[in-house]
Amino acid sequence: MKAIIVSILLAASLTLQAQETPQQHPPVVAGIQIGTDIGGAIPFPFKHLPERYNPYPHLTLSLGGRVGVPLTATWSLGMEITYKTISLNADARVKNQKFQDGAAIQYFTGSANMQQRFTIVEFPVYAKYNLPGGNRLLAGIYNGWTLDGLFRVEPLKGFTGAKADWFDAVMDENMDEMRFDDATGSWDIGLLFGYERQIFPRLDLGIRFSCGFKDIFKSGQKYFDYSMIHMRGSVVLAYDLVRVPVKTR
Amino acid sequence: MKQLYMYISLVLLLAGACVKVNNLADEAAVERFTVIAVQPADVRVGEVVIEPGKIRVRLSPRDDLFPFTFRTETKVSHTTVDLVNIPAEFRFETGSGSERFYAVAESGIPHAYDVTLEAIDTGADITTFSIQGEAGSITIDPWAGAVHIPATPATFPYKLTATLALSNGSAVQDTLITFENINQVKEFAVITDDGAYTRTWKISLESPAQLPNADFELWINEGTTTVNIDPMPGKVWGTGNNSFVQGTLPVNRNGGRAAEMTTGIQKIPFLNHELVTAGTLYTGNFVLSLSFENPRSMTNFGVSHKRRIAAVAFDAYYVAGVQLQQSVKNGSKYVVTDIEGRDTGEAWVEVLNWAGSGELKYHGDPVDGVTVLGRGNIIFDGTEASAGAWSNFEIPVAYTNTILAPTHLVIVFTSSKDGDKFIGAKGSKLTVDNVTLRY
Repeated sequence: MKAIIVSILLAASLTLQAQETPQQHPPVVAGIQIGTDIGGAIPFPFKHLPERYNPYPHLTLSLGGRVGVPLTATWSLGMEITYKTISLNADARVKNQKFQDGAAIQYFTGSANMQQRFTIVEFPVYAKYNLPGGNRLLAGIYNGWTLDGLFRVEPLKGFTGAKADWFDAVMDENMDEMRFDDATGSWDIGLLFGYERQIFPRLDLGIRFSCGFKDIFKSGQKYFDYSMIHMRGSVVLAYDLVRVPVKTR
Repeated sequence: MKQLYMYISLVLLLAGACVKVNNLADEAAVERFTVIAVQPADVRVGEVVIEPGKIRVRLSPRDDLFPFTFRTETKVSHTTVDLVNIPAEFRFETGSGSERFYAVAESGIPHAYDVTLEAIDTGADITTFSIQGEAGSITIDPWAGAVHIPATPATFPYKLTATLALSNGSAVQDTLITFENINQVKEFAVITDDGAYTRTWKISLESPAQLPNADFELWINEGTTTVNIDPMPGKVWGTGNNSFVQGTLPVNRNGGRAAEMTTGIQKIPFLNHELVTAGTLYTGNFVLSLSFENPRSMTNFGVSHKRRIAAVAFDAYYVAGVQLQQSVKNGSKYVVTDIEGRDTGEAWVEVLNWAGSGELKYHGDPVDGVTVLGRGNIIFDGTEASAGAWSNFEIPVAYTNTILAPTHLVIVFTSSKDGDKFIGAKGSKLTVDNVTLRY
C-alpha cells in the first residue's frame, strides 16, 4: 500500500508539470465505472505505523456511476456514486501498542495479524482540469457511508503489560482475535486527487488517491492512542453512456 | 522541501516493510551480564554464570552484605530487540531472593531470566550437614554462615550426632553436638587450608518452618487495579490478580489483615468475554496468559519446602453465592449462563517431590518429574456448621509415598472449586487467615 501511495503522489506531481492549455470545450457526460481500491485504514500520524508492517490488500471490484458537467473550457465538475468493498490484511511487529477499553489500558509488544474490510457507498465531488491529449487532473472531496465494517486484530506472539516496556502477561499463540467491528463508524469524509486519461472515445482510465479525515472508529471508542484513517489508491475504468456536446461561442 | 521529506519518509517506510513478521526470530538471549556499581562497594563479585533463563551472580558472603545492590551492562544476541522489566538497579535483601526480567525476541516472544546470587565458597564453609532422620530438611545458609536444624525437642539437653562436609572436601564424621536450650547457638570454626581465614559457623535449633506472610498481612498496590499479596519475600503466595481481574483482596480482621477471595463475573476488555472468575490464593506464582482454553496453565503451583508436614491449619469462613453460573463459548465469545447446583469453595494441599531441574511448572495436573507424595483437601459448601463465621480448619495430609523426600508444598484456596472451568456463583467468598504448617 505504501508503494501505491508513493506512485500516485509521484504521478500526480509529474503530470502537473506537463499541463498545457486545452483547445476544446468538454461535453456533459454521464456514465458508469468500475474499478478497484488498494489500501485501507492506517495509523495517523504516520509515526504510529508499526516498525514492521506488511499489508496484503485484497482486490475487489467497485461499481458506480458518474456525471461530468463542464464549467469552462478547461474546468469541469464531476460527481460520482460508487459501491465498493475495501479489504486489507496485514501483519505487523509492534512495540508498546496501546489498547484502551474503558478504564483498562494494556500495551502490547509483539507480532500480530490485522484484518479490515469496509463496504462503503462513496459520493465523490471534484473539480476536473482538462489537459491536452485527453489527460485530466482532478481534486475534490468525498463522503462515504460505511454499510459494513470489520476490524480485527489477532495477536500472534508477544506480551502485554499495564505500562509501556513492561511484561505482565504472555500472549498465548491460540489467543482469540480482538474484534472491533461494532466500534467502526458509519461515515467518512476526505480528500480525493486523481489523474484520468481517455484511452478510447468514451472510455477513460483513471487513478485516484483518497485520504480520509475521520477516525474509522466511532467517536468515544478510543481503542488506540492515535487515529485510524482511510488511505487508498484506486484504479478506475469509466465508460460514458451519454455525451452531450456543449455549444461554445 | 516538505514534499521531498514526505517522499523520503514514505520510501523509508516502504523499505522497512520487507520482513514478514512470521519470519522474525523467536529466540532471544542475554550473552553478557556485567555487574557494575556494586554496594557495598568492596564486595568481591566473582563470575556471572549465564544459562538459559538464569543468571547467577557469584560473590563472597560476608556479614554486612545485605542489602546488596548493583547495576548492569548487558549484551544481547542479535535476535534480541529489547530487555523489559529490568530494573535500573538490582537490589537483594537476602541471598535467596531473585529478580526477573525478560529478553524480547524479534517476534515479540519474551524469555524470562531470573537473576540470583550464588555464594562463592570461602574455603572455610560447611557444604553439607546431616543428622540421622533429618535428611533434606536442614538448612545451610552460606550467606550468614549458619546451619538451621528444624527441631522442637521436648527435653534438654538435646544431643545429636552430625556429619559435616567442609570446603576442602574433608568430612567431619559423627560430631556430637549438645544443645542446653532451644535458643542456644553452637559455634563451629572452619579454617581455610592455608590457615589464613577462619569462619565461625553458627548452628542452631529452630521451630519447623512456617511460610512467610502466612497471616496475609503484607500486600502491594492496595487501592489500585494491581493490588496483590506481597510476592516478597521468596514469592511464596500468588493470586490470579492482575489489571483485568481482582478476585483476591485484603480485608481487616482482628486489627490485621486476612485474604478475601471472591467469585465474580469479569468482562475481559478487547475480547468482550464474560468470565466467571474465582478468587484464588496459593503457594506459587501466576503468569497471565490471555488464553481461556486452559486457565490452570496460568497458575504455577508450589514453593520449595523440604520438610514433610502433617497438616495445614488455617482460619476461614465461606459464603456461597446465590446462582451457580458457567462461562461457555458461544461463537467467538464467552458468555455467562445459569446452571443448576450450588457453588463450593475448596482448600487443598499437596506435598510434592520434584525430580526435574529448573523452575517447577506444576498446574495441578500430572507432570513429568513431579510425584505427589501426599494430599488433602476441604470442600466448603456453605452448609457446614461454621458457614458464614470464622472457624479454624485443618487439612491432614494423607501420604501415599513415604520414600521420596518432599521438595515442594502446594496450598490452594479458591472461592469456587470449579473456577478453572469458569464455574462459580457471583458473590461466593472464601476468607482465610493465619495459615500454619503442622509437623
